[in-house]
Amino acid sequence: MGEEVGRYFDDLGSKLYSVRNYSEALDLFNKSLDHNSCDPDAWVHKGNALRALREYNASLEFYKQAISLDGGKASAWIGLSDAYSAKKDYANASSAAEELTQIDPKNKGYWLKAGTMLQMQGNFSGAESRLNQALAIDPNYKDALYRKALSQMSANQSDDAMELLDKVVALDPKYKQAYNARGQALEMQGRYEGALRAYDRALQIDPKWDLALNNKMQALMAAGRQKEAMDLLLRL
Amino acid sequence: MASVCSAEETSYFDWKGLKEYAAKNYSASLTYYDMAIAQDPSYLDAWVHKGDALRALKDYNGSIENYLQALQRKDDSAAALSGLMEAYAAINDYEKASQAAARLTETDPTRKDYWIKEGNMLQMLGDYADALTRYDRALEIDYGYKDALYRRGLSLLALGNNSGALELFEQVIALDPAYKLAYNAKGLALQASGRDDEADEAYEDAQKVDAQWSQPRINQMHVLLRLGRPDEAMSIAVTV
Repeated sequence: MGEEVGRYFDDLGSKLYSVRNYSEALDLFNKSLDHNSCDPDAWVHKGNALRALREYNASLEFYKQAISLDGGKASAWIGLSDAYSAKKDYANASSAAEELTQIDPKNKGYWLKAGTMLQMQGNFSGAESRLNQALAIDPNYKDALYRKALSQMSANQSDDAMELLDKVVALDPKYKQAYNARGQALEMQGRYEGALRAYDRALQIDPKWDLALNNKMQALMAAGRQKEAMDLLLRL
Repeated sequence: MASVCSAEETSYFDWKGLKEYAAKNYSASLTYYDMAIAQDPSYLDAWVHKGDALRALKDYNGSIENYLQALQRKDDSAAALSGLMEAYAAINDYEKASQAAARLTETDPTRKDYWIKEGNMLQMLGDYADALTRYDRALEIDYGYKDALYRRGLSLLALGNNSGALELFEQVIALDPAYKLAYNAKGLALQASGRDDEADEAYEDAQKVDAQWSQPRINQMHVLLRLGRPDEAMSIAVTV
């Protein structure tokens, strides 16, 4: 009976969570846990609601509770990784992401997460091996292709990176990050006019994107077009 | 006696509007300004304040109309000209914003802030050379006016005078070591001079003032790319 009531409150809480009513969802997850504290899903859901409310430290506790009940609970490890990442604790975020790849090595998203967290720590070569695992599962996984390109750029392999980025935009012409990264790769080669065109492509997709605007300003400076660079700087 | 009461009521409505405006109840403030204007259409302040409230509500065209109404009643109203300039700038009409700013400096050429506003509007029009003369006027009034020094530096940088710009940004930093914009601009001036190592340091300094500000981080990423340190550059790129 307790389990059923617990699931009922958990279900209600999940509905509120889905409409972003996190505080009230949290109350219902608490009620769910009052009736059934052995349900790892309820702990994860409470962690998710707290994370949505930016209470990252508190959310970590609840994910850990869920993991203590079920060490293979992927959603708890995902929440843990995301909460650590939100706190910029990329070492712990990375450890949690690595656990996910152990739980389900066939999930490309887990490899991407592991690779991304390693990149956030500045470990680009370690990241590349994780991203390769994701791409072995899905060679057209655009997020992994994009992230792999960043790793290659960190190793000064701008030609290889551009090849990957071209593939990303062929798969998804709206992938603004790929154009932006292409601009950076071209800058690495001293090809500033080409970089400017790449940033403009990114800005066609998202005209207010500060990162691409700032990058364009830098490319203009490097191209000796200082007046245009200042025009842009004043609008950043 | 009746006219005295009426004038008192008009200023009372305007005062009530200002109270609402101060509490950020802009729509409520408009009601009072309208009452003041209905009672006495020659009451200049109410037109200006209504323009301010509409501008706060991002109804820029509406605010411009009200500032113009105020200027019909007093063509050198500094408050109306200042509001007009801001409203035109908000809709990116820098030509008209610049004209309003020029009229503002005419109302009181001893005001350094009017000169900098005019200079800033000229910069937004891309007229960096003319902007310089306005900053010079501001600096004649106050030679330690850091905002004018900073903006003058941007004009020099736009015009390719990198060393002159650098000197001004360093002057601003000496006056105010927390002036983050000056560190960032100093980095740009150093980059333009081919002094990438020093530019890297300037961007670091900007981040010491404001660690959350992404601009110097992005700029540092570019300088690191140029310095042949792509691993460090990409470490920044993935976190901005």
